[in-house]
Amino acid sequence: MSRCRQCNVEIKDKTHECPLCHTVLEQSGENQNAYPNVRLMVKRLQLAGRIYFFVFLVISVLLAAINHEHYQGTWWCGIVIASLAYLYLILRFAVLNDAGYRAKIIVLTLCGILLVVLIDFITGYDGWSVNYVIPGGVLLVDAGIIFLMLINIRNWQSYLLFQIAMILCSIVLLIFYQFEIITEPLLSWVALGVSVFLFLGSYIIGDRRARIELKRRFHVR
Amino acid sequence: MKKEEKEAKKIKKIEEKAIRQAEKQEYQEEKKRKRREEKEKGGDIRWDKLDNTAHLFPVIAGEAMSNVYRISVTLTEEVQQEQLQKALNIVLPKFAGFNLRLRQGVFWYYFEENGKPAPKVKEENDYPCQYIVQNKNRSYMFRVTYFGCRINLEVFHVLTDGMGGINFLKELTYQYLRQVHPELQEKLGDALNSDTSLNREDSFLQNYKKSHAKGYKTQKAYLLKGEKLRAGEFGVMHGYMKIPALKEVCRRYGVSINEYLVAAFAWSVYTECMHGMPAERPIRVAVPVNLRPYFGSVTTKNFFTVVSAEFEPEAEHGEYTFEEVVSIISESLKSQIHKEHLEELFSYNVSNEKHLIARAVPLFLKNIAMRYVYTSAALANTTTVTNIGNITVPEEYQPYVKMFYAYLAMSKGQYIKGTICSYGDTLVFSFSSILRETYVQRGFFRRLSSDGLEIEIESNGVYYD
Repeated sequence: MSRCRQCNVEIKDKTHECPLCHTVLEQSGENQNAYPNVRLMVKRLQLAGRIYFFVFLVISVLLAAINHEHYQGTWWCGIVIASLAYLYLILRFAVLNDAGYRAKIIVLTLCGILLVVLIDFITGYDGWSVNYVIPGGVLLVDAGIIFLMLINIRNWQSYLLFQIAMILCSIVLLIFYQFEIITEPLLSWVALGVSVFLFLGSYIIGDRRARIELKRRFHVR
Repeated sequence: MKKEEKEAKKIKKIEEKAIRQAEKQEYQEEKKRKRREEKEKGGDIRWDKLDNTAHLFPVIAGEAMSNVYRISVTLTEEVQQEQLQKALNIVLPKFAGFNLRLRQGVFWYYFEENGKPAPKVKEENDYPCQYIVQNKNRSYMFRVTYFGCRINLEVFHVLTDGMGGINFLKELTYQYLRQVHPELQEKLGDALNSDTSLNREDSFLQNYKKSHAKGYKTQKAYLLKGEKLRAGEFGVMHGYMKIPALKEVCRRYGVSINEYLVAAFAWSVYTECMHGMPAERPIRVAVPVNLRPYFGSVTTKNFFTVVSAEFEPEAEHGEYTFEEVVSIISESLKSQIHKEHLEELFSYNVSNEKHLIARAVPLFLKNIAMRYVYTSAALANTTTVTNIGNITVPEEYQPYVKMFYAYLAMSKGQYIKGTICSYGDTLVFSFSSILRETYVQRGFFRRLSSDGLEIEIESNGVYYD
C-alpha cells in the first residue's frame, strides 16, 4: 500500500500519485488495481456516421446552390437531400441505435412515408404517395408482423398491439379519404381489411393467450 | 519461433470455437427446457405490475442516466467464469423477481416472465453502472460480471432496490461457492438460504394511506458543477475504514454512523465547493430509507422512500464548525425518519397513482408528466447518500467472502453520489461520480482522517491522467 502525506490516507491502487490531491505517494509495497483498465474506443461506425453527416451537409449545400442557379420549375435537390437524410436516419437509428426493432420499424416506416409524400409534392403532387404508397406501407408492415410472429413464435401474442396500431393507421387513411386527401381508396380499404383480419385471426386462433396479452397491455391497475 | 506462435494461435482459435459451440448448445438446451416448462404451465406467461417507484425508472433511464446500481462481493479467491455462469443458471429460475423482462402497455409498463436462458456472465470490460438496453442482454434487467476475485451484480432499479439486489447477490454467491467447493454443497445442500425472501408484494400499495399532502421538497438545492469525465466514463472511489474506530468517533459526536457520514459529505461540499461561504441554495443530501423495518415487509420489490438532510449556511451565522454541521444534519434526519413522516412521503405518490383519471391516461402522456416531476425533484437535492447497511453471510461462507460494496449511477443534477456498505468489521464509503475533480472526495476523506480514522482508498483509475 502507498501513503499520501497530504491527505493522510492509504492508497490501494497501483499508482504513484494520490487520486485526491495528486501528490506523489510514499511507496511501501506492491499494489494491485481492483478494476480493469477501460479506455473507451472510438467506435468506427460512429466515426462513419459523423463523416457521413459532414459529407451530407456539403452535398446538400452544393445541390441547393446548383438547383437555385439552374432552376427549371422543380426543386429536385429536395428529393436528393431528403433521400440522403433518410439514409442517415437508417445509419443513426437502425444501425447505431440500441432501440428495439419495433421502434425501428415504426420510425423508419413513418419517415419513409414522409419521404415519398415529399417526393410526390416536389414532382407536382399527383397523389400517388397517399393513394398507393401509404396503404402499401401498412400492408408491408402487416406482412412484417406475420413474419416476426413466425420467427418469434414463443411471443407471437406480443405483436397484437402492433396489429391494433395498424388497424388505427388504416382508419386514418379512410379519414383522409373523407377529407379528399386520398382520392383512390381501394388500397386503403384493402389495408384496413388485411389489418382487421390479421388481428381477428390472431385473437380467435390465439384464444386465451391473446386475451391475456390484451389484458396485460391494457391494464389500468 | 514464428511457426510455434502460429500453432499456438491456431490451437487457441480452435479452443475458442469449441467454447462458443458448447455455449451455443447450452443456450439451445436451456431454451428448450424453458419452452417445455411453459408448455407444462399451459403456455401462460407470468406477468406482474410495477411498484410505485418503479414506474419512474423506465421513463427517465438512458445512456446518461442509467438508473443502474452495482452491488459487488469480493471473494478470497479468483472467480471462475464457467462456475459463476452455472450458479446463475441455477439461481435465476428460483427468483421470480429477476427472471423478468420489461414490457410497455397502453397505460402502464409491466413485467413479463423472461423465457430466455440466463444472461451471459462476462469479465468486466466496461465502466460500472452502464445503461441496460432492454432488447439486449437477453432482455434481462440485470447483468453479472466478474473481475479478479470480485462478482458484480448490476441491477436496473425498476426491478428492485438495494435490499432486493443484496438478496439475489448473496444467493448467487452461495451457489457459486457451493459449485466451486463441493464440500459446502455436501454440508449445506443446494436449496436457497432460509433467510432469503422471495416475496413480491407491492408494499407501497399494502401500506399507503390516502393522502394529498406533498411531503418532499422541490425547491432547487445547491448543485455541484465542474468539468466532467469523458462521455461514458464513470469514476468510482472506495474508502475503507474500521467500524469500531468509526463508532468511537460517532459516539464522540453523539450521532449515528449514517448521520456522521452524511454530515461529513455536506461538510466537504461546504468547505471544498462553497469555501465556507453562505449560498443562495441549501446543501441537501437525499437519503433513501428502507421502509421494510417500519412496515414489517419482506418484499423484494422496491420499498423505499427518500428524505433530505438539509444544511443551509446562513450569512449572519459566520463560518460553521464541523460540530455544528453534524448537529444540523443529525437533527434534520431525526426529524424526518419516523414512521408517520415516511408513510406521508410515499402515500402522496401512491395516491396519485391510484387516482382513477390518472390511471386511464395513456402511457406516453404519463411519461411526460413523470419526467417533469422527476426533474424538479432531482434538482432539489445536491447529492444522494444511501446506506445499504451491514451485510452478513452464514458462518460456513464467511471464510470465502472478503467484502461487499455498492454504488449508484448518476441522476439529473447529481454528478456525485455516495453509498455506505459494511461487512464484518469494515465499512466502505463508495463515491460514484462523473466529475473529473475529486474535491468532494478529498474533503470527505480528509475530514474522516482528521477525526482519527484510518482510511484506505481504492479507485477505478479514471482520476489518474
